[in-house]
Amino acid sequence: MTYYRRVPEFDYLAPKSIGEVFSLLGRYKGDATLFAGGTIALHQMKERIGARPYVIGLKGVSGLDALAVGKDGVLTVGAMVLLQRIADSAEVQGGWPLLATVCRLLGTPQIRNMGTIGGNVAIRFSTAETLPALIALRAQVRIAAAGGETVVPVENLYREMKSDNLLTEFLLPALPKGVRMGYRKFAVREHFDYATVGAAVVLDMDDGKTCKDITIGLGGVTLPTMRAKGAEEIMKGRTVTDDIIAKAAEAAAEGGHMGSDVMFSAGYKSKVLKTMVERAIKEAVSD
Amino acid sequence: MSGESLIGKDIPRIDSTDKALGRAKYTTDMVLPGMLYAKVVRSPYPHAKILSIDTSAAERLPGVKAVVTGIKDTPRGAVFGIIPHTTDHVLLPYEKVRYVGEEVAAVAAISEDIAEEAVDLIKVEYEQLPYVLHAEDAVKEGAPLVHDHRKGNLAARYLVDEGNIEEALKNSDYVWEKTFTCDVASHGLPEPFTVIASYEPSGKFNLWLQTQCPFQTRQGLGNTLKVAPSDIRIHSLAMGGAHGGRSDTPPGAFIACLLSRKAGRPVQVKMTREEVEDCMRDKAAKVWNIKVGFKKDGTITGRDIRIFLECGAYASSAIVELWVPLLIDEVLWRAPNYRYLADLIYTNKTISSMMRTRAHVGPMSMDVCFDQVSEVLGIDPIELRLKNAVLPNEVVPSKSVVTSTGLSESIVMAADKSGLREKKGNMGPNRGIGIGSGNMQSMFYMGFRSGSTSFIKFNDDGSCTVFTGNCDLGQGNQTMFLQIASEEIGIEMKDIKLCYGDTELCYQDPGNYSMSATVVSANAVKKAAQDAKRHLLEIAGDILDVSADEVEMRGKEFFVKRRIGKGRGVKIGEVCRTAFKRGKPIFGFGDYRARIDYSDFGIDIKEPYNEKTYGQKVTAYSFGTTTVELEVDPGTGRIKVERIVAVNDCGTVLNPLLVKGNMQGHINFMLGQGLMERNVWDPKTGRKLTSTFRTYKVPTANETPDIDIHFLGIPDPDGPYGAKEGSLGFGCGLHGAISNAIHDATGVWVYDVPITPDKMLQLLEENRKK
Ligand SMILES: Cc1cc2nc3c(=O)[nH]c(=O)nc-3n(C[C@H](O)[C@H](O)[C@H](O)COP(=O)(O)OP(=O)(O)OC[C@H]3O[C@@H](n4cnc5c(N)ncnc54)[C@H](O)[C@@H]3O)c2cc1C
Repeated sequence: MTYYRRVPEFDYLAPKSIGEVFSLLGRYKGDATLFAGGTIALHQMKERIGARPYVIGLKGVSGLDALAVGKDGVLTVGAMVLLQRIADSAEVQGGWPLLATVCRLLGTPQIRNMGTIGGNVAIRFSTAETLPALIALRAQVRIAAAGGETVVPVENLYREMKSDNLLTEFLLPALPKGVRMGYRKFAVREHFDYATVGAAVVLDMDDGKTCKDITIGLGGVTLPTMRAKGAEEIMKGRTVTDDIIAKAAEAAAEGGHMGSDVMFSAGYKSKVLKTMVERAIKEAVSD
Repeated sequence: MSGESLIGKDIPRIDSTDKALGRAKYTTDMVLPGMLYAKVVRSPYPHAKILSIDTSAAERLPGVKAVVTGIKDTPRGAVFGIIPHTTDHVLLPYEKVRYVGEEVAAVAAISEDIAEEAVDLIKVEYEQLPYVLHAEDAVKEGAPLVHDHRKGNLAARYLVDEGNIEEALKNSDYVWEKTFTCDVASHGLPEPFTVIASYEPSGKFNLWLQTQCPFQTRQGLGNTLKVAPSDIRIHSLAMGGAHGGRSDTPPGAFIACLLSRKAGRPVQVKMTREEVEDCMRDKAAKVWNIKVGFKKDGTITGRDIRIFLECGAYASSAIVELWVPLLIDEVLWRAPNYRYLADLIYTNKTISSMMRTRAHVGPMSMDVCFDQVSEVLGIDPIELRLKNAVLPNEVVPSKSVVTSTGLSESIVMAADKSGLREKKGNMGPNRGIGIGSGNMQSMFYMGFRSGSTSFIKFNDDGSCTVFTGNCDLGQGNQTMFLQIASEEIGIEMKDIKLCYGDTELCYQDPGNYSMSATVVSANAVKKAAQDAKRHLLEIAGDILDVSADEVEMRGKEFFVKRRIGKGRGVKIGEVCRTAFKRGKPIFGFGDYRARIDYSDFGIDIKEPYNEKTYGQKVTAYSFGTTTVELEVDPGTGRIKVERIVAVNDCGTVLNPLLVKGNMQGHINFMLGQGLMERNVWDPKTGRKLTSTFRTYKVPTANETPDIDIHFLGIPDPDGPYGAKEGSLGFGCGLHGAISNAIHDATGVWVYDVPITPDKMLQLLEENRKK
C-alpha cells in the first residue's frame, strides 16, 4: 500500500502523423503509452496503472480533430475533439443533440476543455459517459492499428480494440427525420460528478404512438452489456405506453451487469438504472 | 470617534482579493533555502506490533539527509493528549500501530522523488494483531483491545446527572424514545496538510503550518518533543480550510521537527489527499439513544441521553467529542431532570477529533421528537418547541447560565418567513418542508487559555499594528480584528496592520477553538484599541494643553472639543512622534478573560468517570433556526434541497456580509454531511476506502440552495458590541429540519445521517410495503 504517487519520470514524444504514432509504438514496443488530454492518463501514471517510460502525445497529430458533417450526412468526430467543443457545436446540437447534451453534463469546464472524446471512450470505463450516447446513436469508430485500420460499431469496441490501437474518429450516421432522444444520468452531485448509472435513448416512432425503432445505451454497466438489446426488442413494434416503458426499463436493468462500488451496492444501482432508462425513454417520447 | 460606526456594516474581507486572484500565500506555497522534502512510512495494518525497522538502505540512498523512526527518535514518555486522562498518542509510535496510515518512520531528502524512493527502501517488520473497526463490536466481550489498559475499549466516559431522570420518566404522561446514528465524517479540507519545520542550532524550532490554535500546537509539540514551548515558534499563513480539523498537534509537525533537527536543514512534510483523509482527523460516528418525558400539556419532564462515540485509535483530542455534544444538547431545550451519559470507544480507525458540526444528531433528535410528539399530544409543533425552548438567564442542567438567547424568536421568525404552517403538507408529491433549531458555544473552559491578550503598537506616522495570537481560518477574523481596532481608535482600517498567530510576537490566545475568536480574541483587541486610544488622547491633550477628556479625534487629527471648527488640531503622526520623544511610544494593551467559573471538566481524573461536573462552562451561546424545503426523488432516493430560511441569533451582527458568507458555507457543510458524505472502511484490510474526493463526495457551489438569511440582533452581554459566534449555531438544526421535511414529503422518518440516496430509497420501499 502506498500513499505516494508522484508522476514517474517519462520522455514525451510528439508525433505529427498517425504513421509516426505507429512507428513510435513499434520502436518502443510495450514501453510507450498514448496521451490525449491527459485528464485520466496523468492520473494513471501517478497510480502506476500501465505507466510506461515513453508518452506519445496526440495533440500534434494531424487528422484527429475533425468535427464536420459530410455530404452523406455522416458526422465525423475526430478522437482528439474536446468534449466542450462537441457540447458547443451547433451542428452536433442540431443533428445529434444527445451527444451534445452528454458532453455538456460531463465533468467540469476544466475537464471538458482538456478531455477528448477519444480519451473518454478509450479508457473503456463503465463510467465513460459518451459511450452510451454513441451506442444509442449507432456510431461507428475507426480504429487504427500498426497493420491498417478497421471501422466497427462503438458497441463492439470492447471486443475489437487492442492495446496500442489508436482511435482516430467516430462516425455518426444521419438520423431519420423526427427521431427523438432522451438522456438521464444519476450521480450523487447533479453537476461535477461521474454518472453512477445512465441511459441514452434514440427513438423512432410511427404516427407518434408505435415504436418503430429504438436504441438504448446504458452507462455504469460492464461494457458488453452497454447496449440494452432486450429492452429494445420489448419496445420495437409496440404501442408506447407507460407499462411497456416500465417493462423495457426492467429488462434493461436486468441485462446491464454491474458490481457494487465503494458508494453503492449493485442492487441499488440496478434500481436506479431502471429509473434512468424509464425516464430517458419518456423524455424521448415527449421530445 | 469621528465618522460613522463600522459595526453592522458590510465590510469585504481584506484577504478576499488575494485569494480570488491566487496571490494569497499558503503554507503549501512556501519554500525555504536548503529545504528538504519529507515522506512518511505508514502502517499498512490497522493493528500491529512494530518488531523492527531497517532504515539502512534508505540512509544509503544519495540525496537522503535524515531518517527517523519511532524506535530510535521518539522521546520516551512524551505522549500527546489535550487532557491528562487522554494522553495516549505517541506521535511517532515505537511499540504498536493502531490504524492504517499511522506514522512509523520518515525520511527527508533533497527532492520529493528521492524521499518517495527512500520510503520504499525502509523495511518494517510487523506482528499483525486482531483489530476492531466499529464501536458496537469494540464494546463486545473479547473484542481486541486497542489500548491494553482500557478495558472494553472505553477511552473515557462522561456523565451529567441532574434531578431524578428515572422518576421523571416514570411519572411522565408520555415518553418518546428513539435511537439516532451518524457516520464518521471527514473535514474535506481543500489545502492538504503541510508543515515546514526549521531547527536552529540555538535549539529553536520555527514552524509554518496550518493550525487553528498556534498556542495549543506549540504546547503539544513542546510536550512531545520534550523541549520548552518557548523554544518553538509557530507562524501562521493563509489557510485552505480548517473546520476543526487543524486544532490538533499533528504527527506531521512532530516528524518535521525531528527530521529538521537531525538534518540541520528546514524540512517540509506535505501530505497527499489520501494521507490527509486517512491520517489526519475525522468526526466520530455516534449512536445517540434518547428518551424524552412529556406532560400532557407538552412540557418536557426529563431527557435521558445515552451515547456511544467512535474515538478511533487515540483519545488524545477525540475526548472533545465526549463533552461538546452536551454543551449543545443540555442548552436548547429545558429539562428539569436530565442525564447525559457518553462513552468514547476506541477503534482501529482514523482518529476522531474536533469538527464544527460534531453535535448535529443531538439537535436533530429533538426536532424529530417535537414533530412526532406534537401528533401524539395534539399540540402544534411550533407551540411545543416554544413551550420548552430555553429562555434568557435560565440555568442549564450542568449549571451554566444562558446569558442571551433568541431561540424562541428564531423559531417564530423561521416559521413565519418560510411560510411553514401554510406549506407543511401542501407542497405536492415528494416535496416537503421541515424546521430545526441549533446552538453553539462561544468559548468553553480551557484553563488559563480561556482568555486572550492583545496589544497595539503605533508607528511614527500614526499608523499601527494590532497583535493577536488568534489566526484566520478563512472565516474573516483578520477583517474583524481590523474593523474593531478601527472602530475604537478612529483611524481607517487601511492604516492598521495585523500581526496574528505568531507565538513569538503575540500573547497567548485560545485560537479558533471552541468558537472563541469573536467573544474572546476580538474582545481583547477591542480593549487594546481602547487603551491605545486613551494614550493618544492623553498625549494630544498635552500638546493642546488640555486634559485628555477635552480632546476629540476627527479624521487623523485631534482637536479641543469646544474649539472644533475654530482652532488648529494636532495630527496623529505628531502625537505619535511626541510620544516617542518622551520615551513612551503609543501602545495599547487589552486582555479578556472568558466568564467561566468552571474549574474542572471532570475528566482530568484517573477514573474515566465523573459524577458531577457543574459550573459555568461557556461564555455565550448562539442559537438559530432553519427551515428546509426539499424534494425526494422516488425513483433514486436522491434529495434535492431547494430553499433554506435561516434565522441567526448571533448577537449583534458585526459585519453582515462576512457572517452571511460563513452561514452559506456552513449550510453547504451541513448539507454535505447530511446527504452525501460517507466514509467506508474495508473490513478485510481495515483501510479507509473513501480517501479521495472521487469517493468521498462533498458538495460544490452547485449544490447551494436558495438561502434566505435573517438576523435577530439581540446583543449578548459579554461579546464585543454584543456579538457572539455567528457561523455554526444557527445551522446545527439543519439535519432535524431535513428529516422533518423528508417526513412531510414522503411520510418516512429518518434517524440516520447521512441520508444518502440508497438509504432513502430503501426507506421509501419499506414504507411502500407497509
Ligand atoms: C475531475 C474529473 C472529473 C471527471 N468527470 C468525468 C465525468 O463526469 N464523466 C466522464 O465520462 N468522465 C469524466 N472524467 C474522465 C475523463 O477526464 C474524461 O473521460 C476525458 O474525456 C478523458 O479524455 P482525455 O483526452 O483526457 O484522455 P487521456 O487521459 O489522455 O487518456 C485516457 C486513456 O485513453 C487512452 N487514449 C487517449 N486517446 C486515445 C486514442 N485516441 N486512442 C487510443 N487510446 C487513447 C490513453 O492512453 C489513456 O489510457 C473526469 C476526470 C476527472 C479528472
